Amino acid sequence: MGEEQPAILVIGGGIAGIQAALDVASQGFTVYLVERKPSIGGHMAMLDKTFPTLDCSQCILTPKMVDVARHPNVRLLTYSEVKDVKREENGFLVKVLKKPRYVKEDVCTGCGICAMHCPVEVPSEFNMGLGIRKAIYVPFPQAVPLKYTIDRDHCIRCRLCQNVCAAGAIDFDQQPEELELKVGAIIVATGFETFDARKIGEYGYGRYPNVVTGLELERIVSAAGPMGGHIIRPSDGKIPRRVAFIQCVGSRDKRFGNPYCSRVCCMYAIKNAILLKEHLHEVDVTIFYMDIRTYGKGFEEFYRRAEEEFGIKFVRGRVSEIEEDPETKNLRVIIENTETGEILQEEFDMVVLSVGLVPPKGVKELSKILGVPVDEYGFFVEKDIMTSPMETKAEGIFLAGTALGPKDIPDSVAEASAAAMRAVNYVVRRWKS
Amino acid sequence: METGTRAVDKLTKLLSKSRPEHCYQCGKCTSGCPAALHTEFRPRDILIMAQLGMTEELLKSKLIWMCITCFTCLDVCPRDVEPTEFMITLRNLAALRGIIPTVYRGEGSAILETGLAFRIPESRVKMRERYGLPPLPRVDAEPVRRLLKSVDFDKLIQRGEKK
Ligand SMILES: Cc1cc2nc3c(=O)[nH]c(=O)nc-3n(C[C@H](O)[C@H](O)[C@H](O)COP(=O)(O)OP(=O)(O)OC[C@H]3O[C@@H](n4cnc5c(N)ncnc54)[C@H](O)[C@@H]3O)c2cc1C
Ligand code: SF4
Repeated sequence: MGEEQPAILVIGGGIAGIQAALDVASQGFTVYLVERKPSIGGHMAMLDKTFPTLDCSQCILTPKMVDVARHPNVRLLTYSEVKDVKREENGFLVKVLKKPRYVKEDVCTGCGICAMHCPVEVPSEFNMGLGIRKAIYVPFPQAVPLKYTIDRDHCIRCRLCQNVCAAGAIDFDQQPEELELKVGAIIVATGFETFDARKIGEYGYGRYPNVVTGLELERIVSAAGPMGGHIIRPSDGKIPRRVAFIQCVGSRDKRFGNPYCSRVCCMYAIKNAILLKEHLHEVDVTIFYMDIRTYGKGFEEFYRRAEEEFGIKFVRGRVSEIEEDPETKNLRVIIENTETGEILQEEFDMVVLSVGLVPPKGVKELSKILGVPVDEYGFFVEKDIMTSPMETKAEGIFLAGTALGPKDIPDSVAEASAAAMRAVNYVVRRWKS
Repeated sequence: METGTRAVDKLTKLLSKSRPEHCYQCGKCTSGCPAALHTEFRPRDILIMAQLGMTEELLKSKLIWMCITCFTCLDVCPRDVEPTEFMITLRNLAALRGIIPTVYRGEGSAILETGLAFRIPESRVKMRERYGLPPLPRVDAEPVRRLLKSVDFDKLIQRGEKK
């Protein structure tokens, strides 16, 4: 390779991408971290507490987000997407499209005066539509970079933001910018999306306001969430007294082409059941499951504690249907307890669907751009699951985290460090020769 | 209609087309089953019995006749099993053996006689008159009878009948 020390590209700024970028950067290599959303953080930023330790998710993640943004070797490219990758003799030539924020990143101080004056309210994606943001916004207060973005689809061009911004950061004429990067290796950490529960008609998600997903519950429970950490149900703001969790929603289900287990939903349901019990002492919580899969360190103990210490009920069986009482908006869950053969029809105030993990949108396009195949579900395929799980068949391209398949944060972080090591090894080997 | 050993072979093959071995006993079929709500019938039990090789027992059991073939289980099954089809095939196999519950024999002979599965009692006809409802359409049973006889249905429903 040439004189210059090669850089490494990381695609996806979730916990896996952040960890990979930090590890590569700390070995003295330049890293480009490309994230398509306005902020890095991924799903971990949306979680309240994390299993199995019940640590505060933001408290672990935020320092890492700040570290990666401040690292002298990291170039953060948010609100950006990889458009093209060309293999060259010495690595890759990558085209990145930086979408216009209509706010100058180098001028915006993140003070938020603009959002205070913006008259347009839009359902907040970060809060799963349970709260609102403005048309000029940061997705969440700890966003990195703390730079505002104008959502042109909802902006009414009143220009109030422009009038109040003391720094003069608003720029309605901003254009998309195309960057060309030369890199020696690529790490793909594009993560996952949650299964769209609307597809399961018999559970009524999207029609019954008190049927929520696990990710929505994370936001409801969070003290920084749209309900300020008060656990209330969406239809009438009442405190729920009876809550049911339904497992394997969109996982282990051939009807939707997802026969696989999503691995984290048993644990996150147990976690949230415990949090509900801690917040509301009088709540009854039942988890309807097929198998409880607690495969990690300390996980089985966590499950046992939920049952024995917190009195959470576990009933084995898959719910066939949820019916809503149109007046009270309470929900009737119909289920066979497969351990007794009894058919139960129980009423709950709120039902939480433990939605599974599926590949994020745009994964097929990215697969083509990179020349790295995805499996029948859309997860990236490793070179060899036993001996080179972080590598791909395309030389110089590595994988980490849920982009490969469902997994939890500890595994995503471990893989990110492994992928970083492999990528650094790869560029050093070629650079020295 | 084939009613001999070839039919048994065909139906036996058809059993596996419903994929009973795919069932992982989640119970989703059973919790949605209207028949299970009122009887001891559990589609899930039928499938695990099949997995355990208990087809003989199933053929002799009255359980397989309790399914009302509403197909709800087929709609919700996460494993692509077809419990309703499975039940229908089992019934056909049982019928070939002459294992037919009396009510079903009765229905069979009613169709042969009247063209309808349900014999409408005289009292019902009178009641309609009293309420001023129009008379029921007349059913010509002959074409139905001819069709069923051509496939030996009349003989099938008499199989194994205790006289
Ligand atoms: C409800 C719920 C609760 C959970 N609770 C826990 C828990 O308590 N403990 C635990 O260990 N795990 C938990 N998990 C799992 C945890 O969220 C994941 O393990 C973790 O977030 C995976 O990180 P990641 O970086 O692989 O993916 P993500 O967090 O999804 O990050 C991927 C990033 O890549 C970006 N991206 C995607 N495509 C592109 C592209 N084409 N170009 C550029 N950027 C792109 C995305 O915008 C995103 O920022 C939970 C999951 C859910 C759904
Ligand atoms: S982790 Fe649990 S809830 Fe999720 S798919 Fe696997 S078994 Fe089902």
